[in-house]
Parts: sequence; C-alpha cells; structure tokens
Amino acid sequence: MAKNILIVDDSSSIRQSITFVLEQSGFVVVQSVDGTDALKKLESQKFDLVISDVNMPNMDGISLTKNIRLTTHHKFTPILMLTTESQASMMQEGKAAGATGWIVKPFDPDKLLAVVNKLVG
Amino acid sequence: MVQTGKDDLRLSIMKSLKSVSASTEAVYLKMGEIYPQLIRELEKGATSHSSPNSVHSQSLLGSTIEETLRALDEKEKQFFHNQKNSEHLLEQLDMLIQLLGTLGLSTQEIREDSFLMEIISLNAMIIAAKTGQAGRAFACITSELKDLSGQTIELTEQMDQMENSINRVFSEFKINLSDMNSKEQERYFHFIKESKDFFQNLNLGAVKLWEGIEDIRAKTIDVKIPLVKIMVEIQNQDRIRQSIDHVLLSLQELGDPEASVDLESRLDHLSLLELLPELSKQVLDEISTHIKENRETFHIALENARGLINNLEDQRKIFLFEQQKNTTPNNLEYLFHQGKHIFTDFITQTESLLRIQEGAFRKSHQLQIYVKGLSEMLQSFGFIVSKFRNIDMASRIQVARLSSLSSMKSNTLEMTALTQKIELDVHQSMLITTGFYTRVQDVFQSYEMDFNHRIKADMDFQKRLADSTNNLEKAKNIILKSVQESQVFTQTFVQQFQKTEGDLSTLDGLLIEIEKQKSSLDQMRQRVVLEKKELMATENLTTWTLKNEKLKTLIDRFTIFSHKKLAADLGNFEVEDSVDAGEVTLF
Repeated sequence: MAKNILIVDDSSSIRQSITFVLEQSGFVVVQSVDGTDALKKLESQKFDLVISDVNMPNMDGISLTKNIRLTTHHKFTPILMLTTESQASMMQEGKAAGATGWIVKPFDPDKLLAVVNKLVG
Repeated sequence: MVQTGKDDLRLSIMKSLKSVSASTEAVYLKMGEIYPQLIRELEKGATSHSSPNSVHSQSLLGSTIEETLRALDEKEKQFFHNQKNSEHLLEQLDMLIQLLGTLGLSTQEIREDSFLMEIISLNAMIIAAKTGQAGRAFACITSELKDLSGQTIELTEQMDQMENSINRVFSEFKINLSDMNSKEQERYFHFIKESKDFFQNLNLGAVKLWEGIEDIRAKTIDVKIPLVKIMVEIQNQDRIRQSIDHVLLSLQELGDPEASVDLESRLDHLSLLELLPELSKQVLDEISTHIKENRETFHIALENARGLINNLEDQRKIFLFEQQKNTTPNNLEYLFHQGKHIFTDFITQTESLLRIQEGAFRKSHQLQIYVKGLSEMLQSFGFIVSKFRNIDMASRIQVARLSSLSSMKSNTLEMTALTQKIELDVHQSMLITTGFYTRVQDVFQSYEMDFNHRIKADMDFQKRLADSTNNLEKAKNIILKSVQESQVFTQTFVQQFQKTEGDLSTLDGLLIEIEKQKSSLDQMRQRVVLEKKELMATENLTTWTLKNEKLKTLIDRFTIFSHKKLAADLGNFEVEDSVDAGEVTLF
C-alpha cells in the first residue's frame, strides 16, 4: 500500500518540487502551508512521514514538531526538517523538539528519496 | 533633503524587489504546475498502446482476416467435395468406357455373323444358279440376303467407327478432367499456402508496425529526464524568495527612524547603513547567479528535451516513410500488395479454369449427342433383323417346296441359327446402348449439376475474396493513416512545451531589473557615505568603528547561512559554522 506523506512548507515551489519527486516514486502526498494547517490535517489523517520547513508563518517547523510529539496518533511518526537553515544550533533545536532528521535546502532528489524510503520503508 | 531622497529610493528598491520576488515566484510556480502535467502527458503518450483509429483498424484487419480464413475453410471443404465428385465422375467414365467396349464386342459379333451370312448367301446363290429356272426365286432371296449381310457389315463398321470416336472423346474427356483436377489441386494448394503465409505475415506486419511506433513512443520517456531536472530546480525559487526577503530586511533597517537619537547612535547607524547596500548587492548578485544558473539549466534541459523530441519525430517520419513504400519487404504496404496479387491471381486462374470447365461441359453435351446417335443407329438394326427373319422364312419355304434345293437344307438351318444369333446380338447391343445412353445421361446430368454448383460456389468465393481484398485495403489504409496521425507526443504536450519556453524569457527581464536595483543601491550607499562624511566632518571625526550588535541582530533573522557569512565578513565578526546545502542528517 502506498505511504502517505505530509509536506509542510509555505513555499509553493518547494511543495511542488517535493510532491513531484515523491509522487514519481509512488508516495501519496498531502500539502500544508504552515504548522497550524498541518496540525489540522494530522488530526484527521494518518501519515507515515512529515516533511516540514522550519521558517513558516503562523506556526514554525520546530513548534509543529513539538506539537506533533504531543499527539497520540503521530507521537512516533518520523519528522524530517527540510530547510535552508544549516547551523548546528538550529539542528540541535530541531532534534530537541523531536525531529527525526534534517535536510538542508536545496534538496537532492535521490538523497531525499533515500532518506524517505529509509524512514517509511 | 538627503534623508527624504534616500528613503524614496529605498522604498522604490523595496517595491521593485518585491515585484521581482513575485514575478520570479510566478514563473517558477507556473513551471511547477506545467512540468508535472507535461511529464504526465509524456507518460500517457508513452504508455498509450492504441488510438481509437488503431483499435478500429486492428479490429477491421482482424475481422477481415477471420472472414477470409473462414471463406478459405469453406473453399477447402468445397474443394475436397469437388475433388470427390470428380473422382466419382472419372470412375463412372471408366465404367462407361468399359461398357462401350462391351458394345464393341457385341457389334463385332453382329459383323462376324453377317460375314458368315454373306458366305451362306454366296453358297446359296451358287446352288440357286445350278438349279436353273426353278431356283430363280431362291436366287432372288439369296441375292437379297447377300445385300442385307453387306449392309449389316457396313452398318457394324459405321458403328465401330462411332464407338471408336465416342471412346476417343470419352478418353480425351477423362484425360482433360483428370488434368483439370490435378491442375486445380496444385493451384488450390499453392493458393492456400500462399494465403495462409500472407495472413500470417500480414498479422506479423501489423504487429511489427505497431511495435515500431510503440518503440519510438516508448523512447519519449527519455524526454522526462530533462523535465525532471527542471522540476527539481524549481525549488530554488524558495531560496531566491528568502534571499530577496533578506535584502528587504536590510532595506527596512535603512529606514529605521530610531537612528538619529544621539551622535554615537547616528554614526553607528550610518555605518550600518553604509554596509547594508553592499550586503544587499551581494545577496542580489547571489540571486542573479541563481537565476542565471537556473535559466541555463532550464535552457539546457529544454534544448535536450527539444533535441529528443525532434529526433523522435524524425525517427517516426522515417519509419512511416519506410512503411508506405511498397518495395520495403514485410512492411504493410508491401504485404498488402502481395496479398492482393495472390487473390487477383487466384481469381484470374479460377476464371480461366472455369472457361476450361465450360469447354469440358460443352464436350459432355457433344458426347451425349454422339451416344444418342449411336443409340439411333442401333435402331436401324431392328429393320435389318426383321428383314433377315423374312429372308430366312422365304428361304426355308423355297427349300421345302423345291426338291432341287434339298441340298440347301443344312444352309437354311445355319441361316436360321445365324438370323436368331444376329437378332440376339442386336437385342444385346440395343440393351447395352440403352443402358449406356441412360448412364451417360445420368453421369452428365450429375456432372452438370455439380458444374453449376461449382460455378456458383466459385462466384461466391470470388466475391468473398474481392470483399476481403477491399476490406484489407481499407484496414491497411486506416492503419497507415492512424500510424501517420499517431504523434509521438500528445498534442497537449507539444502545446504546453512550446508555451513554457516563452515563460522562461521572463527570467531575463528579472535579471535586468535586479541589475537596475543594484545601481540604485550604489546610489543609496553613496548618499549614506556622504551623510556620514558630513556628520563626521561636523564632529571633527576621521574614523568611526561600527558596533556590530545591530548587524548581528539583523543577520539573526537571515535564514540562509551564506548571507549570514556575507554580513559577518562585512562587519568583521564570526558566525557559527554550518553544513552544506543538500546535506542530510539523521538524528
């Protein structure tokens, strides 16, 4: 059965690009524009993986990760941060919030797919 | 005054950069929407096995082949039935020839009896001459007997000739029929083999034709590679947007009203403002580089895609050209011509065979007339027999009446025996002839029925072959038309592909706009430098070192490491190191 992935990013181009790469590999992708929107979707649907940006309006990726870890359904769902932020302190913050991994934008499609497959496989 | 002019310029740069950001986003997003559609169209085109036309043509070809094979099967049954009938006819002809031989024997008997009768009559004539006047009547009788024997001999010879003629014609008829049968058999088996080979090749040809087109179409998926590359590059818009945001953040600082509280703050602020246009310019340079790189990537990818598209279209055209030549072995046009030739040849041969059969049929009529003539000729023996009987009676009376003819007693007894034998032989011959005539009529009646049935069946088969040829031509034309019309790339793909190329030129306009804003930033910097210089001159200051806190606060809001690094280099301070773009870290 196809795996469901939630992409959270305020940038439409990023959402388009990731959706394209993942859909080409057979994943089912749902998009969210920010953390608040993502939490709503996470309440109503089960996802196998969340890929989230860090810097977003309304609710950033770190806060989203903390909130996801508080839910029952997605407590253990892998969360990948996909962001332009590349400094160790920020990554540490993500890890502390409960993120599973960190990818610095722009992403390499092969690397992204390898990580996604590893996390949902 | 300077302050107001500087702010106007700042606001104008901000406005322009916001517009650049929005335009870049629009171009990239449009590509992000169109390229997945293009790739879907490409995949649709590459995997679609048949157009409605091709389905129709394949089903028409299939049903025509099925119908023709059915006609061939029926023809095969009819052929074997005809062969069986012909063999039966040949057997019957053999029997008739044998019967004719029996009639010949019977005629020979009559002739031999007539020779004996002639000898007896000559003997009687001599005795009658010796008897003188008394034997005159007997002499007349014997003379008549001699004439009658002579006539009988002549008649049997005529019958012999006629029998021989009939025999010859029968034998010829039989040979012709047998020859015709073997020719028909040879021609038919050749035709069946050629037809079955043709249909097999035609089916194979049609399959190969579609496979050829499908192969070319399958290669269209190669075009996907450059298009996927474009889709991956589209994410750079996010970086461009963030970069412009950083410039905008910097430009907001330039308009900060807190700047002029005291001299130290003002000079510190002006020092920062002196740095920010340079920082913004460098960020804009980075944006330009990104756009240029993307533009180049898009250009190369599109050129690659276009090259592949043109190459595949050329391959399709060459393939089609080859398919339409009827000299290229095993292409559909060639095969169709071959099939048409097989069918036309068979129809021509059938027509010529029918003409030969018609000739044979006419000969069968001729034969019946001959046999009828023979039968009629035999009727005249009835008169001869009755004459023999009368002469025999008259002879016996004369011999009984005249003692001078007493030596003739044994002759008359012989004459009576011969007359009875001739009568028996004639009766036998008439029986044989009647039987022969009836059988000839039966055989040829059944031959006529069979012949008419065969003509009708052949005409039907010819019509079916002609229909099949027409349908095959129709199917072939539809297939070729359908293949000709089947585009390697769907219409939607071609239209969208052409459209996206135009959209990319927008990026060139954005680069020009960025260059323009860089000049404006230079102007701004010059104004800030002038303002700072004037203030320092007023305060008799020669140098001023910037306290970095504001710059540090500003770059904290930057989300791209390279920009932080740029600002740090300009402000002479260190920033925390970072990992490279694309790097994956799993916790």
